[in-house]
Amino acid sequence: MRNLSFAALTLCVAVAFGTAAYAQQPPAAAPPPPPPPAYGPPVTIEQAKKVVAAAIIEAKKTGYSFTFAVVDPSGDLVYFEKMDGAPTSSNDIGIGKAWTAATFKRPSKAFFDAMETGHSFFGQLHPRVTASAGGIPLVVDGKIVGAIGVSGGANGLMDNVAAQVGADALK
Amino acid sequence: MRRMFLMTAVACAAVLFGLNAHAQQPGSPAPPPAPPYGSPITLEQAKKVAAAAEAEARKNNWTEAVAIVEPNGQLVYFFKMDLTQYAAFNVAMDKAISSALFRRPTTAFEAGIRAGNLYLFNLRGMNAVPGGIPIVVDGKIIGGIGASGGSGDQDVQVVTAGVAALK
Repeated sequence: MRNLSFAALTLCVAVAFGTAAYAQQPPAAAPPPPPPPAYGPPVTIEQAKKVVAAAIIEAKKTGYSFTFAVVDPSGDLVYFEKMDGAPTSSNDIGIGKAWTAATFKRPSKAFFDAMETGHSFFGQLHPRVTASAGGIPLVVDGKIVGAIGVSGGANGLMDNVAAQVGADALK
Repeated sequence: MRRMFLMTAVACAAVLFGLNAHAQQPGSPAPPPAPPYGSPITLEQAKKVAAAAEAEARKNNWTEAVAIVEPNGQLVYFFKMDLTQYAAFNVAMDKAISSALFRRPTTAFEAGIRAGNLYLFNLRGMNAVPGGIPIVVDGKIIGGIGASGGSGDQDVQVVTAGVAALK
């Protein structure tokens, strides 16, 4: 009986200690990423067409049907193409990814990664945040001129491949 | 005094009669039925329409945003020329969607409102700003197009030139 009490006490102390240690654990001190580039002038219609032309060639290799959206730094739509038969949800999702990448100055995949690793508060930063890969900022001369968003593939990573090819077309 | 009374009575009668006559006026003949919907515009067709619309705008030095939608109002193609006013995105979309969903040009609603049919404002999605027309191929509506950025007449010219490219 005494043995049992002792064991229970030990367990309690251990739990209490453990919890306390957990609560007092300092947050992981990951250094912040380098600051993102400044915004430049809004992407031109010529640049936008070039970006989507490159992305659509890459996307067609998959056999899936996609939407492609290009927005300016404020997230306003500049150019849009929907392939025949693309999922009807992809209009909003593609534009949402582009909006997310442009207005947060980072790939929409960053939000996906954050959510997947337990940082769910990212999901309520803004109702338009689209936490799925496939939105990438467009950078020209070291400045963010807008973003491309792609949707319609098997998953965000497939969309992201086409988006990256599009973004690279401006380099 | 009596004369004045008479004049007033005549005036009143005229007004009443006028109103009555107006109320009983037979309605204008119903417009012919709108063309039926066909299969949604393809990206290939939309690009053709957009290219012609953009060429028309460039030729005239107008900055325009142009939206092309399916019969159900879903966006298929959009472009906004450099320096187009920011309001043009929403206006172009609204015109295109109204044209597709109601199967008639936005000028039809403009005419209706000018004629005093204020109930038109109750139609959700209705847009009465010139510059939106249905895209009709082989007698079927395959989508709608809306342009914004210029005057109403300029926008109409742009969308008309665009749709003409499919004929």
